[in-house]
Amino acid sequence: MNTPTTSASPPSLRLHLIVLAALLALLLTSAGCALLPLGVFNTLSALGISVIKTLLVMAFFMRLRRGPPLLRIAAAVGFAWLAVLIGMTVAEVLTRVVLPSPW
Amino acid sequence: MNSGDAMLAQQFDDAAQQRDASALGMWTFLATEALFFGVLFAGYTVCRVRFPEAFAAGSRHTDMLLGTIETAVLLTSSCAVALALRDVQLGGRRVAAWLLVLTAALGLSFLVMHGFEYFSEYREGLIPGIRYTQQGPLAGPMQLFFCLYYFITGFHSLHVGIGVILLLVMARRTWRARFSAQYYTPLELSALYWHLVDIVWIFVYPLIYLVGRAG
Repeated sequence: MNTPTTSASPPSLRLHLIVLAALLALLLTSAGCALLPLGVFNTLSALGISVIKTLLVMAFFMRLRRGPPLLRIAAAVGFAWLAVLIGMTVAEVLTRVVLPSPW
Repeated sequence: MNSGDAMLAQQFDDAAQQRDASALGMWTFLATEALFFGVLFAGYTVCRVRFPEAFAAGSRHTDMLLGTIETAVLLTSSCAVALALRDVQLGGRRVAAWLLVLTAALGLSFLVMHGFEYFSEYREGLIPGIRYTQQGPLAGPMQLFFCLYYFITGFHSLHVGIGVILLLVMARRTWRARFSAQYYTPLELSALYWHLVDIVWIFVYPLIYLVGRAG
């Protein structure tokens, strides 16, 4: 716990603006992909781009890239629980067999 | 009041330890927030697997252009609050305060745009239980989409509203030189909260506005 939360010198202005430009480019990419008939890849590309945007925000704006390991673990655990919640719910729904009524 | 040591609570050895404990507490809170919205997203997933056509039809009723602009506004506001924190860390005060006001203004403009969306949905008769005038085979399950839409975006807007108030308080404190290069923990935690609000919206955008657009 003795490692400082943030590094002595904060990230540069240039880095912030590059990340913002990347986020806005990804936003336009996801909007563009949504208009193309890609089938199941419409959903996959939209969610994949959202994950990339989230990682950019967490790594650079929330400064986890240089954050202490404990904070990175705490952040990862939150999303791991979320993955368990949604993953197991979807697994149950997708494998459910509708049984016909016996009478 | 400016130095980190003057703000040190007695249970901590030094300012760095206090700041790390605060950040860890905030990240734990953010994990509970992610799970709070996660339940709504899980409900959304279950309903969308069951009624894919109704969710695509519901999504086509939302305003994709406005949703895209709202996303861009929130992403920009996240960058602004990160820059405000950077400025305080470098010993700045006025620029940081104005950046925080800018962030709050962007958050407020997001709420206004969303208000317009809600109003146009009310006029179109897309609010189940209040004013729902849709007809056809998909009208029934489409109510599920709109219920989830109002719960997810409603709770998100509530978070944006709380964030706007928090950012204005931080802007006032920054302007009054309550923070310095040595002590800026409340500002850092408020920024983390605002980034989480942004991240939630990053997932709301494709799930609400981008479904079934190609068809």
